[in-house]
Amino acid sequence: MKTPLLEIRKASRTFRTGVSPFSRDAFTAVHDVSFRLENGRTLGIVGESGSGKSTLLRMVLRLIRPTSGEILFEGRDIWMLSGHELLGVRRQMQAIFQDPASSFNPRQSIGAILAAPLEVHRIGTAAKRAKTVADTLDLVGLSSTYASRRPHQLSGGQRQRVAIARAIILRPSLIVADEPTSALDVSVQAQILALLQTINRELGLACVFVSHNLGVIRVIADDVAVMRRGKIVEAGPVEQVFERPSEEYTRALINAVPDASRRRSPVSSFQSVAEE
Amino acid sequence: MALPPRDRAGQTLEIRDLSIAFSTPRGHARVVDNVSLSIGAGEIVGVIGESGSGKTLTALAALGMLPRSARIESGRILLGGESLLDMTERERRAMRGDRVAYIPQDALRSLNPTLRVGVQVGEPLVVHRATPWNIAKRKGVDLLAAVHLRDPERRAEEYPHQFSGGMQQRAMIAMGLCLEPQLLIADEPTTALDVTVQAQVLQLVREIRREHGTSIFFITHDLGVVADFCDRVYVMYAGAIVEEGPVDRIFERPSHPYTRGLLRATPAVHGSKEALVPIAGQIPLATERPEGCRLVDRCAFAIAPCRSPPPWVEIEANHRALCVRAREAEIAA
Repeated sequence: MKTPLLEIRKASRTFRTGVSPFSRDAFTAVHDVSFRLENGRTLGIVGESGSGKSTLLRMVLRLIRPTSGEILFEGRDIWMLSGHELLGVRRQMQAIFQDPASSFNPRQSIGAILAAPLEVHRIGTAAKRAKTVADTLDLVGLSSTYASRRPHQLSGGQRQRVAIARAIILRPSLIVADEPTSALDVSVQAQILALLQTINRELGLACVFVSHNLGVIRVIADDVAVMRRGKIVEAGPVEQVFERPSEEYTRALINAVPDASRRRSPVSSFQSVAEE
Repeated sequence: MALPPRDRAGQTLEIRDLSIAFSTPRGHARVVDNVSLSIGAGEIVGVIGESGSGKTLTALAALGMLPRSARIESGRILLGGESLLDMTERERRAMRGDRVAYIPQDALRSLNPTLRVGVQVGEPLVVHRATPWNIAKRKGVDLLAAVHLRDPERRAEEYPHQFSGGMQQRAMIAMGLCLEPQLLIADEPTTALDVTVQAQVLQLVREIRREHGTSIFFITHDLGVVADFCDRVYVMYAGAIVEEGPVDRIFERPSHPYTRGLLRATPAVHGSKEALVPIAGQIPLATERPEGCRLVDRCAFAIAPCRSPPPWVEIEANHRALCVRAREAEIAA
C-alpha cells in the first residue's frame, strides 16, 4: 500500500488531573484514534466541546506527545526524527488557528510576519522573499499594499487571509486548521471557506480541518471523522456520513443543528448529552 | 411608510424610528439608523444580523442600558405602552428584572462568581419584592428545577464556575424568569453552546413562552436558529432593518439581496449540498457607509437608483424589504 501523507496509529493522550503530584487521577482526552490522510484530501474532524478534537490536532502538529500510539508523516514517526529532519517536516506541515490576532506579533508588519517562515528556512534573498510575500498576498486576495500594515489594522476576515498566506508561503503539503472560521461572520466565513477550497485545490494541499460546525465541515471536507469523548465514533466520505449516518450519535448531532434550508423542528430532547 | 395593519395597542415592545449614535475619532457614527420593530404578547421575534449590524445596541436600548457614550438621536421605545425614554433611571431599574429580563451571550461573565447559584437566581425577589433571602433562595431552587437542571438542591449550593456552559445559561434563564417578566431579551444565548445543548436551551425557551406567554426578543446571527425557533424576523444590516416578515415567508421568499446572500452563505447541514456563495466585500464601518442603500457596494444587483435611499417595498402581507428591486424576478432567481 502507498504510504499516506499523514497516518495516526492508535493514538491516545491522557492528562493527569489530580492536584497532588502523587495522584493517579487522569483524563483520557483522545483514546485509540487512527486515521490516514492521502495527499490533496481534506479530512474534517467534527465534535462537541470536550470531544478531544483539539488534543488530536495538537498531536498532529507535534505540540503534545501521544501517551501511546504513533503519528506518522510520510511514513515516519514525527517523534523519532533528528532535528534536521524535523525542520523538514515542519516546513511541510503548517497551521491555521481560530484567532489569528493572537498568533501574530502585533508590532510586526504583515510583510514581516509573512517573511518570517522564509527566513527561518533560509529561503531566497531579501528581494526574492519580498516578491514571494507579495505573490502570496495576491493568492489570498489581498493587495500587496497590505504588507506594510499591522495586524490590528485588519478585519477578522483579512487577518484570517494573512494566516492562510503564512501557512502556504512555504508551499507545505499539509495544512492543519483549528476552527479557522468560527470567529467570523457568515458572509466572511463563506469567503474564507471558498479561499481555502481554491488554495487546497490549486496547490494540491492535504488538510485536517477541525470544527464544531457541521455545515462548515460538509462544505470543506472530503472525508469526515466524528469524535465523541476522545474516540472517533464514525468516519467516512462526507456526503455518506451526512446523508446516511450509521451511528445514532452522528444522527443526533446532525438533527440538533437548526435548519435554515428547510423548516423542520429539531430533536426536542437530546437525551445522550450528560449535563454532569 | 405605514406598517401592515396589525394591532399596535397590545405590543409588549414597540420601537419606533430609533437612531443611536456615537462620536468617534473618525466622526459621527450612527450605529442604529431609524429602526422600528415591535414584539407582540407571546411572540418570539428574531433579530438577525452580522457583527456591526446594530442588533445588540437595539436590544440594550430597549433595556435602557446603552453605554454612556451612546446618544439616542431620535425615536421612541414603548414597553407595554409606557415610554422608556421618559422614565427616570430609578423607574428603569425597577422595570429591569421585573417586567423585562435580559439573557446575555456569555453567562459565566454575567453571573457573580462569589455567590452560590441558588441565591443569585432568587435575588430578583429580594431586589424587587423585598422578599427575605431565605425565601428567595428556596425560589432559586424551584427555578433551577424549572429549567430542568438535575439535582437542583445540590446545584443551588454550587458556584457558577462549577457549572458547564449549558448549565450556566440555564441558570441565567432561571434568573430571568424569577419574576415572570412580560419580555425576555436574549442576546445570542446559545452561540457559545454545542448544538445539542443549544437544542435543549431553545426547547426550554419555547416551553417558557407556552407556559407563561412571555414575549421573546431573540438576537442571533444564526439563520438556522431563526428558522427553527422564531415566529417573525427582522434582518439587520449595517445599522438598519433591511427586511422583516414572518419566518416562513422570509425563508420561502427572501427578498432583500442581503437576506438572500446570508442564506446562500450559510452552510447547510440538512438536505442536498449546495455550493456556498460568499457575499463579496465587507460590512462597512458606521462612519464609512455608502450613500443610498448601505449594501450597494457589495450587491450584485445594484443599479443607479441604489445610490439614493432605498424604499420599503411590500412583498406580501406583513413582509417587506428595504430594496428598490425587491420585487424583481432577477433578484429572486
